Amino acid sequence: MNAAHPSGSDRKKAQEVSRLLPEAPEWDLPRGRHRHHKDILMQQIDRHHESAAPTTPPRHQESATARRRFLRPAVAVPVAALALTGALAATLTFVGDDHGATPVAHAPAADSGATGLLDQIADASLRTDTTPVRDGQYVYVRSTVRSNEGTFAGPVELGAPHRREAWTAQTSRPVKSLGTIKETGKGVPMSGQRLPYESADALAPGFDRPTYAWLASLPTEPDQLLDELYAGTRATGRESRDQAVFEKIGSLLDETVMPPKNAAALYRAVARIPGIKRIPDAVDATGRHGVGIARQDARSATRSEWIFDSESLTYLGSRTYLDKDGKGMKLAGTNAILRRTVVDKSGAMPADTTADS
Amino acid sequence: MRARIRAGDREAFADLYEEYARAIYNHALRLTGDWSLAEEVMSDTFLTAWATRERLDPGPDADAPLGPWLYGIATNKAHNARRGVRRRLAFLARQPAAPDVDDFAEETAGRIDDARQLTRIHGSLAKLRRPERDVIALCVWAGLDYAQAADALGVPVGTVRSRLSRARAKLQRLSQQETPEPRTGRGEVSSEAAFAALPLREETR
Repeated sequence: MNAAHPSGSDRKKAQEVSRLLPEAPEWDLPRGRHRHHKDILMQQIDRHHESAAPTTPPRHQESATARRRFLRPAVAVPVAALALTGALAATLTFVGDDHGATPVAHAPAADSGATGLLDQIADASLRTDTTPVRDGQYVYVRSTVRSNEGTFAGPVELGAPHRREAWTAQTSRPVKSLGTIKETGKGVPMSGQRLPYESADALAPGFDRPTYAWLASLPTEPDQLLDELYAGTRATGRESRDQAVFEKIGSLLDETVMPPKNAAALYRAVARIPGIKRIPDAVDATGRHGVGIARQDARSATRSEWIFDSESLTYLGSRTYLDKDGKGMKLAGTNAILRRTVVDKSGAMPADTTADS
Repeated sequence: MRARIRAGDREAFADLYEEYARAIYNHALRLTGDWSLAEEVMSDTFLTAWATRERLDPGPDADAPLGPWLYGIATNKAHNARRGVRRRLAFLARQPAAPDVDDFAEETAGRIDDARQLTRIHGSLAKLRRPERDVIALCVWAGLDYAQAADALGVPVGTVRSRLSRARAKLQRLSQQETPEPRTGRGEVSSEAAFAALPLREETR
């Protein structure tokens, strides 16, 4: 590799590569969509300029501006939220119109070991101390993540572990500024930079923006909670509805803080989903061993596991397996939650953070 | 322009949107292969540019194009959006490969052609690893030079160069495998038909 490559030769090389690829047509959004997104940008700027104190972040001036809907709100809205809920446990969900869908009959869990373990996990979570999160604060979660960096077509190939930090806005109002994400590691675009997560339309707390207050408002009676989870979850592709709900609960456990009674209710609700298994030894993304709760979905050839510390039964992280080619399940993604706390400002580090953590 | 963007000048951002929105949308489409995600990524990119304007490097050259900055944000956003749904995509790929009819039910036939074309573009990267896909999208399709792509991704120029070399070697190998007649020289040209023969439809959404 010649380090002093002139850029003319770079250009030539890029052209050579382009001949190996199909020609990329130029697409464009309809003009109305462009106008919509430009308006959103301009309104954001105007709110900033109109505010008396120029240092006030624009998110505090959430106005009564008419919120125009996306053309395809069911898909478009949750995407930004998805990114916030984390790479592994995230589930595509829909804020659409068919929430009245019939909950599946709750068959007894197949594995009594899993039921017993989930009971213990629920009891343990009741014994934890969680300081309530105030409106306007941010939930801070630091994790190690390894995701599939392999090709779309080929086998799963886990990338190197990298560090992920997410600050999630806890305000109860619908907001466009959902929080901030910073990912640090080799191969991460813009590694180490804090980037805000903005939604074009304001998003209220809910399944796609699970704030502390919203989680606290969920039923604590497990059957009632499970009904609500089934009603709020839509399976996509070949995924079974039971798996979709399991993944949904996983996404609620991932980058969140919630009251102990709600965490306990979620675990007891999980025990009522058919097909839940106990895994005697499971490992998170940083190599911590623990006990696992898993659900395998034959229809979609996936398995998801949550890992809990064997002693304290606190949630350590998750693993997701895929069978892409019918040759067996391969690890496709894993994470490990390293820190879960609350801070006052987006991007702020927890008070006790040391320079190297 | 750089100074005006850093200062939060309204007109500068309006111009920035006009100049780059379409290009960023296309970049996002090629990386995500998904219309809704791409629109979301594009919108989020400009809002993030606004929110992080003060971090924009004033640079030695005040008139250096702002594309690399925006492409960098967009690549990060596409990566994050994509990663969230990747697990799901991986098994959706096992379904018969065809555009999701539900998604296009209200669309015209032209829209379905677009969907096929997008699948083909996105699918042509199917055998490349993510860092290679990013560099292809920036250097080949977005037309950035190596230094600009390095700037966008926050990596050294040498890394861009080696990723592109790797991507080229892989694409060449693939085109040779897929083409029945033996190739001479370094196989620098491959017909589009050869690519069409690749299993491009693995990921339809």
